[in-house]
Amino acid sequence: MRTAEPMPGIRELRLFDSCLTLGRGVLKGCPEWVTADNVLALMDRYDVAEALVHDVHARVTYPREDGNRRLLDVLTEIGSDRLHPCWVIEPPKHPGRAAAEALVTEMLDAGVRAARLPMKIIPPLPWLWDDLCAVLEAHRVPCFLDFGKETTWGDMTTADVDGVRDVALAHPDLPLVLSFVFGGLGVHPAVVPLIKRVPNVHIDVQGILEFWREVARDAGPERVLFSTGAPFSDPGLYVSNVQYARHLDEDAKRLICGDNLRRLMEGVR
Amino acid sequence: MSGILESWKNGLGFPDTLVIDGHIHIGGWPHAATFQDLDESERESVAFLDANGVDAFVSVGGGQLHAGRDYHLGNDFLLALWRRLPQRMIPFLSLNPNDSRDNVLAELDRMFDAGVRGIKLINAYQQRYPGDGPNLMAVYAYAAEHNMLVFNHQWEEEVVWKISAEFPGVTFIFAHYGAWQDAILKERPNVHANIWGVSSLGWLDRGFANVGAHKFMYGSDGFLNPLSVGIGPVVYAPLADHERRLILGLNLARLLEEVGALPPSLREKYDRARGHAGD
Repeated sequence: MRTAEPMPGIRELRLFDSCLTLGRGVLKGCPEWVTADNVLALMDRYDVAEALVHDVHARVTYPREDGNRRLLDVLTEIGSDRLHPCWVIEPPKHPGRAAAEALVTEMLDAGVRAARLPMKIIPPLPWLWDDLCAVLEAHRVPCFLDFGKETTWGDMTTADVDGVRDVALAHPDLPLVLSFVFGGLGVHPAVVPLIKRVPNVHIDVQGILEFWREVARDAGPERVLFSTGAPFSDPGLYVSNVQYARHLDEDAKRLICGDNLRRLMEGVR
Repeated sequence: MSGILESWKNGLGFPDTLVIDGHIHIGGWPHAATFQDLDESERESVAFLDANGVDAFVSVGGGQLHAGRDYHLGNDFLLALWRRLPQRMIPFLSLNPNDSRDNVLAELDRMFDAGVRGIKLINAYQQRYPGDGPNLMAVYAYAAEHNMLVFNHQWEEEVVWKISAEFPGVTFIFAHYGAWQDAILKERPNVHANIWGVSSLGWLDRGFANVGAHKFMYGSDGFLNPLSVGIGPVVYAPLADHERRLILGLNLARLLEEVGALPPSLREKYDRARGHAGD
């Protein structure tokens, strides 16, 4: 049947996928990967206008620099302005701001305006992340807090939630986006209350069930970002969620679908 | 270009397409806020269906179907809501096989007498009661005798091979499709799959190609999830529109019709849609 009220067209929402993993690996249950050969076709299939991409190995393997560099090489090879690089980074081994400044400067000089922070490997201990987060905050770099395992299914412990809260409060101008916090049957019960209390914490739509809708309703659509999580999850699962959501007007849907991420990336100094 | 996909992309839902969500929980839930009462359930259910262009939904119980709860309460809620939404809702009763067999059979009788023709199982979440345990074997026998559909969160692989052979007249429906089910979906005419699940890129494309569209049905695990989590993987899949129609509604409508559970309001649309099935 026809919808009771027409929803906005998917192309008008200008989808900007905040979480696309580029590169090939071997993982049971995940035989298809997103590579230079198919990434644009995949985006076209789902009407994704732009995507923030990170390298598959940079997420899970040292040295991360190899994956981050490979990502830039692949994006150069593809040569599309629809793809935006995101580096996976972690606190430098030596304490102090100098090493963190060097890392972030290198990243920004390479045209990378978003970072993915591997929380399952380096947990959100405020003292450990402070130097790097202070530098990222100074540059307003949006940071995706990655709580996923190799499969990207993830979870947050109580200590994780506490740690994110402390990091976020210590760096109020640092945009933090929870990523891969979904483990099948819900998220940690403190996640949504945390987002409602700490204004620089965001969530993406992959936490299905009702979590992102509750955040959009109670904390505002500015706090939710569209993502597909491909190839670890199928974009078909998420592509229509915001488009057909009730209780959100078209402006709010545009924010979630892409304009929030555009705004965050444009805010990088 | 697919007319169904274009309509969906344009925000119009599914004009002229019968769509039945085959997997929706309603009632209380263990870990998330859900509708607070019968009035809200009635109002919000309809609003969610209308917002997505979905004609009707198979409704299964909520939190009461899990271990430690009384499934009768969930069934009472289904019946009460069904009385308000007889044209949009198709209830599937819940039970807990760890209860006594007498209690389980009594509940089957009560719900069958009320007109319910589908059974929802979730024994994996009920202290892992085995799918071929004695009380579930009694349930399957009851379903065979009374012509009822059996829908389960998941069966162990060896169990579903066993029970689908032992009860060839019973339709068994997986609540969550996975690639490991392809062999039995192809082999056994009485085994079907609801598509809903969170899986990797192309998982349903591969399933549709391996098995054929005739064995799948749309579902979302709503109203906890957006209904569109199940719609997207179907409408964006590389299928012909007649295959999309099968998955979105016709396959399930046929099974419901066979057990007398298709709401009268959908029968005309079902007949008309079958006329389009060859396009």
